[in-house]
Amino acid sequence: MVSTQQEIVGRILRASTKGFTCGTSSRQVDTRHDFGAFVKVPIANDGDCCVIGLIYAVEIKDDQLVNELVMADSVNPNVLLDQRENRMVPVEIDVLNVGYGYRDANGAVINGFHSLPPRPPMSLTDVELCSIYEVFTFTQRYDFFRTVINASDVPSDDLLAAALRYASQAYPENQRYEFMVHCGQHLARMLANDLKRLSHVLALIRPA
Amino acid sequence: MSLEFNKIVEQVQKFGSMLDALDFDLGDRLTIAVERFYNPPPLEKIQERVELVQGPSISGYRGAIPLEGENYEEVSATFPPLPAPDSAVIIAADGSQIYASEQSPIHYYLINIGLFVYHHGIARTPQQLTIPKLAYHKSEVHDPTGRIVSNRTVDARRTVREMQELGKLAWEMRGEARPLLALYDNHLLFGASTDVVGHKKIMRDYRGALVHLHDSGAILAGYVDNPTRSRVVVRMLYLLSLSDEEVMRADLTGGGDLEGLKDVHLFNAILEPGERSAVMVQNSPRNLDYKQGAGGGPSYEIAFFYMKVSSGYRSSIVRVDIPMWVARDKRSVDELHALLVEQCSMQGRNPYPYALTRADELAYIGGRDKNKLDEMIRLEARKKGIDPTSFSAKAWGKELARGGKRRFEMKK
Repeated sequence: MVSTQQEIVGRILRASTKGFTCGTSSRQVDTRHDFGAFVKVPIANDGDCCVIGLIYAVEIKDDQLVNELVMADSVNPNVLLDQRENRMVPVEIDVLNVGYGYRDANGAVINGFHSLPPRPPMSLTDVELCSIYEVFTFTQRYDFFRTVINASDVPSDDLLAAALRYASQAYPENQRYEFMVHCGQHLARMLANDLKRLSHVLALIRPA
Repeated sequence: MSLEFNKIVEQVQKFGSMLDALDFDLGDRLTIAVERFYNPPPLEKIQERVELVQGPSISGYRGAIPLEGENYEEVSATFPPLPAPDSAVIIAADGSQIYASEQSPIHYYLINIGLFVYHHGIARTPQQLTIPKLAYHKSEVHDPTGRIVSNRTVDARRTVREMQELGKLAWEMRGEARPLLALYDNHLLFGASTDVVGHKKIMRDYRGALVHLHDSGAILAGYVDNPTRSRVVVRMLYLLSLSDEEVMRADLTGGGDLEGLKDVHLFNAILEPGERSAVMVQNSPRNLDYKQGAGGGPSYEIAFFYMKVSSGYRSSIVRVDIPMWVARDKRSVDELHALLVEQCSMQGRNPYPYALTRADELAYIGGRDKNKLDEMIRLEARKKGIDPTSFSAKAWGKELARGGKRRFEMKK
């Protein structure tokens, strides 16, 4: 789902210029936390400059009580409600930074740079889902592909494919196929020396 | 300086050698006790013996006695759980505290009560509530001589608060589904010793809370997990094995030829998973006071039964304390029994009531929370021009030496 309005994904737990981790409670988890979603967050001491990143991992934390409940033959429905709504099991969302940009007069992050941001965001800053317009403008260029492809400790092929499928939803329906074809052509140039990988990524973004 | 383990290794090995020589075997005592349990004397004989030990000529018997009249359950009886009622509300309460510190320049203590409400039989999100109370006024934090109140006093006040909050919530929820089960995580035969500041008021308040629970129509139960010190039934079996003459001479404060055996051992051998024992009462001056003393009454004498709770993986013996207003209502006892069996099967391998686990979690004050509260109080003190950091050199020295020590460990 691509956002049409300001939507909070979580708050920053830890961050660097390469990426960040934000947290939320398990009851808040929904389509805003999809793998490959585009998110934005202001960098430290600059409300106008925002990092743009891709969600590459969503981790639901456990504790000893949850571990015990998992061992039960069946979990009572009220216990499930209690665990999910009352105990607020923490969820951590890992994000890979792929660019940054500046807010326009309407608050939208545009004029994006496809490179790492000058500073990381500060702890507890709200992380928001990027709007349709922001995803659309950011994906007019393909330079961020390399950042994703070269990222370590990240499922980069799947992430790039998920991000492109996600971004295609920001385009008018009659332009989506064309967008994906252009992405595939760019990937073919980037991965010309690694045909096995190219073939895998193209398979992942091929429309069903 | 950390512990020098090279100096401990040999001592641990000697300890291990000693374990071989230790007698963990209960010998014939368990066999004898089980035999006596299944072959109790006739009811008339038991009643005679009870009258004898409750008479003025004998003192010191602290064992169990069966219920009287129509509430009597045969001492050797065991009861499998009946099906749980279609709907019920289970309220659980627990508390924790931060004790007042003599070292601190500002004296305070904190009691935090956790309450958890579980709705049995309907799909409804459980409710949770915490009620923290910071005590800082000198009338609360100091005793009449001006000394800081003891940890024991704080514990007693916490116990009363737990029962009061349980009573308040039970009263508020009296219109909800029935039965209304009020679970308390300890024994019910509470007594504040004379060294507790305001012990008489504490006992009055505690009994007032019991009355409140009674008025709300709640099935109150004190859940005692792992009652390893309890041997009231073993003492009763010893008493029933004696002749009248022997009773006059015997030391009834102990278990006689069954000494060393505990109720847990006995019921572990007798009860099947889910079963409970007969309801009995403990013969003690404190329980008599609950029954006859000021603020008490026949409904407030404390009875109990043992249960073997099980998760399917693990089982354990627990004691469940109930006031007489519950004990004399067979249906309430059956409903309590069934709901406890169900609660104990809800958290995987751990056979413990889910509602109590959550109440404990809500009440618990961790080290991080305590530090945060300290920080808030220091900040407030600073606003008033009080220097809150004037703690002792000894305490500061410990802080320096212990804090942030780097440890080197073997790689896993």
